[in-house]
Amino acid sequence: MQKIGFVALCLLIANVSIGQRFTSGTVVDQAENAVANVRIQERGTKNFTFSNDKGEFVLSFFDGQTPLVFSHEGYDSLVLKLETNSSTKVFMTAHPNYNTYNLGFIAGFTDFTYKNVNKHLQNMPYFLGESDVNRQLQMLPGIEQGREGYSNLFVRGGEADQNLMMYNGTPIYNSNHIFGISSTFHHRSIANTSVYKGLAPSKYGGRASAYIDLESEKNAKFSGLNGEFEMTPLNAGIYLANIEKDQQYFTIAARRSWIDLLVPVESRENSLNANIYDLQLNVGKTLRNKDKVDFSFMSTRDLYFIGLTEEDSFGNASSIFGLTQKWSNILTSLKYSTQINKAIDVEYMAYYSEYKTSLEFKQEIPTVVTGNLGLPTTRQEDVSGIRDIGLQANATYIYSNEHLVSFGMQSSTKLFQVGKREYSAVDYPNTADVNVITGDEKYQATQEIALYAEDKYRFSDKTSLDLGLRQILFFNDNKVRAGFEPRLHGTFYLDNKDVLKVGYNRHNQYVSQLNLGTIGNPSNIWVPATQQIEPQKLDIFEASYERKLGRIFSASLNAYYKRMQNLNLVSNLTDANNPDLDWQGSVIQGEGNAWGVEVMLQKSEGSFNGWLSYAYSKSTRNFEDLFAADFDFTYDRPHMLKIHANYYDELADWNFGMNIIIGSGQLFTLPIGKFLDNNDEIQLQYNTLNNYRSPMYTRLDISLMRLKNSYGLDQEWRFYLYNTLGSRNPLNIGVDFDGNSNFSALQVDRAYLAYIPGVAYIVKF
Amino acid sequence: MKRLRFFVGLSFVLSLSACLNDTIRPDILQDYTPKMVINAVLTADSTVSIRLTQSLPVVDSTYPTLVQNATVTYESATGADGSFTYDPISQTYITNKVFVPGEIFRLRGEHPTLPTVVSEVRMPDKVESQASLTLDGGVDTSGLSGDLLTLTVNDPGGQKNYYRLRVLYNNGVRFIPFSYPRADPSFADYNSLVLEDNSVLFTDELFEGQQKTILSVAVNSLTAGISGDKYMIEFASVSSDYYDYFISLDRAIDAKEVTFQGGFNNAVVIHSNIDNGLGILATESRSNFILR
Repeated sequence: MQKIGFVALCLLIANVSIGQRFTSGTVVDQAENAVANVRIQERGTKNFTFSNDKGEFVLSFFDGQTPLVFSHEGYDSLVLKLETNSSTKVFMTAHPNYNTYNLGFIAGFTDFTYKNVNKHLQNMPYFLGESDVNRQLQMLPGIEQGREGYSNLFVRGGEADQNLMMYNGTPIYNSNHIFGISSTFHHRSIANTSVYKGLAPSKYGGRASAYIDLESEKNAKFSGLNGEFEMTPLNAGIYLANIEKDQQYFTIAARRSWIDLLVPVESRENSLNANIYDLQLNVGKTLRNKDKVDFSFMSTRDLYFIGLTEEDSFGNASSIFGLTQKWSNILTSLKYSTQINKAIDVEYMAYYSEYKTSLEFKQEIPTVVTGNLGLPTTRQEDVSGIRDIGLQANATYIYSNEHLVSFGMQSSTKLFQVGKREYSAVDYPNTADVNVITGDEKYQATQEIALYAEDKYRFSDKTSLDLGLRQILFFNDNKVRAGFEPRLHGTFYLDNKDVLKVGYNRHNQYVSQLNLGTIGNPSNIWVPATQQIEPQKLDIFEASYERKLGRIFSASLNAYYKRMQNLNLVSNLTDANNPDLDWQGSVIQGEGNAWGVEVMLQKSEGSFNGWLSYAYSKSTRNFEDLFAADFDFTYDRPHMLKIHANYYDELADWNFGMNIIIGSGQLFTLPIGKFLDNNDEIQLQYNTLNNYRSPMYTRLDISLMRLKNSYGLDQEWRFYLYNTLGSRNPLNIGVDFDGNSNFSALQVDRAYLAYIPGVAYIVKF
Repeated sequence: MKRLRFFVGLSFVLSLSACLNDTIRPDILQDYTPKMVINAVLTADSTVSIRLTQSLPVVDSTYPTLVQNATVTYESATGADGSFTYDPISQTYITNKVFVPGEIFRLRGEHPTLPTVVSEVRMPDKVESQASLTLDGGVDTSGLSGDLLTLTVNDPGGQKNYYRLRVLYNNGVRFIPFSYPRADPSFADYNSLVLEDNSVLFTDELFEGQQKTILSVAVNSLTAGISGDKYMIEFASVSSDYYDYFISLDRAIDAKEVTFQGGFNNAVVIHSNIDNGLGILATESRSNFILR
């Protein structure tokens, strides 16, 4: 892998000279928050550079003798003498009353370490008391939960499968527990969440809508061992971190459901069982030569079992049924970061991600006399899954003070098992055993190779340009597809201190998830682009305007338009669920448009902070084979006002948090009429798809934290209440015809979630 | 232990409070205007009939009824116009007019209480085709020798064409359709459909602009010993509306089998080419080949 990376590097920089003297480092404030856009200049010369969005800087052509001037309009200037070829952390002091909000990063980017700091997300109200990264993201403008109560993410009118969620750089293919109501991550196993809601650097690719990067804790302000034990109605979890600042780290997080353990083993094996677990383990070390090694592992599993026994007239078991559904993820990655020479840093990474799901039905007939044979048993198991093996070499090259070039090569070998069915009927008297396997007995391989390069060009004091390209080759089904992705972005620092950002991106997506009923359903199938199924393609234009308001507030306004092509929709659910049939026959492709305006006002200072956002958006779909005209996207929510507020004071006895969401209702499709078809059978009339919008969505969630120190341990009781006002936001709208094939006696039922309590008990050590 | 009991108790409360239900009457179900429903397959060079019914609100518990007092007229692009009359025996609207391949005409239906409906359609052109029979030229599904029926179609290029094929055998009294397998590689799951009358509806997507030969082998046990007019191949060029209607209708029928989940899984918009109404005015130009 290193050789491949090296060859790629050589090809890309063959004509460029390297080896100039430089100094580098990170500019932070007194709280160690990154300071972006600091001008770093050799005094008395025209040799200068700027710190990037994460406060990092590299000043090349540095003679090593001249002092450096660090200047920024909101901070006290510094004059320092730095060593050549060294890396230094530079502390700057903000002016009193200066608003330290970070105006950097590309339009549509959000994270909770550099951009949206001091948000104390642990205080956010969580569904059932389960801290959940997805529910944090759902409170951001432009990111919707989809179905009520679920932990899914729909970004700016895009589909759920258009989001690439990565844990320490490794893609995860199902981040849901419990059929989509909780995410698979222990909240402490994530130190920072960053989201690209549309535009993304050319390093990111493979999905059309959003990139969600979850990074575990890898460093700390202080060395030592710390951790916490957590208990909720669903899970018991533990987190342990042993971090030696800037040197090495070891973290482990694990959760498991516990209620099932209270149930007798016999009941779990024969009647009912449900359990989940997840485990995240991360180890890293900085070597003597400053190279870094990071290892990450994650495993999750959900298992649900229902058993039923039918009895004959004598009360003996005549038939025993069992239905088992389980799904699991395994993610592991190894990353090696090194400096090839003074100007080039390279990060090599290998990862493996596997998602597997199965549904097993088993029937045993104990009353049949079989002699020496076992019980006559029929068993059917449907299995599907995806494996992703990735190799990456990602590099940054300091060409000059004005040009920072990122480039690399990424390979992803994806193996798909779209559907395998194992059927057996054994030990039936006078009948030969049957063992049949249909569908995909083996995984089908595809290959995706991407080359990318991006120049972050500081054009002037006021202008920074990101000029990127990403070229993909996708091999599958005896066909090679090429995808070309411009990634362009401009940042303009205005005279009034505000920032204007504009950008255009194209994203190609060669993998899709077929929705077999509901988003988050573990049985949803991952499939590749084929000769027949075109890859998804998305073009997005976005403009953003950001400004600081006074000392503690900031505001951003984003407007975007995106066009989506080759979206997939299952047109025949029954056939798509049948591994014996070609899934491609059940899929239709269409187009979509989405546009919107998002306003976000946030407060990042003080004990009481949070944000308020409003988004106006529109998202439509067009599937010619489904309906002749455009129709609204299922999760289209034109108006959405969201408020997250929390009070955090680690010395106070009580902290609290609150979420408020007010917006357009969810769309459902209801029949409006009935008529006779060509064969005189009654059919239902739908005037369009998604024709019914439920009444205005309103939701207030609250959380209350009791902080207490007992026996030398910090303890927290966290109390939550979801939908405190009992708003009837539909989880589902069901049309019930009372079993009447003539479709009479229609009844429309609404299910909703209200007053759902949650609690968590946490001990920190 | 005290805390554990607390969590167990809370879990029980959660299971009770998690999901509530009520019944609603959405506005869109209340304000419904019934529409005229046209159902007809018009064959070129043949007399035609049209069945008219009316749709009902989905909340109505009655059965959709026939529309008997409508005024149904047609206007051909050739200048000919006329009307359909209601035939109480067949409960359809009939006319003596014979439409020819390539003819475009507009059908109009008016009724005192229902919105006026209009549909403009074209009779598809006949596609050049030939059929032949080779006695005992193939092997049937039972492994026995069977008669080989060959249909050759010259598919016009530069346009998407839709076809219907049905193979029938004479049982001595009348022609009976074979249960036709979609064995031909051009009949993929996504571009073909078997109709209730055992026709195969398909597109030319996989042989666009080419000469296409479709082979079928008669089932020996059904046809052995029969002489004379032994087989009939019905081959028709059909309108795109014809194809779209039956494809969507098939999906709608499948969707009824699925438990309602509120998404599109149950919601199939059945294709219609009736402006301001529902149903289908399908057209076809058919060739019948009698093989002996």
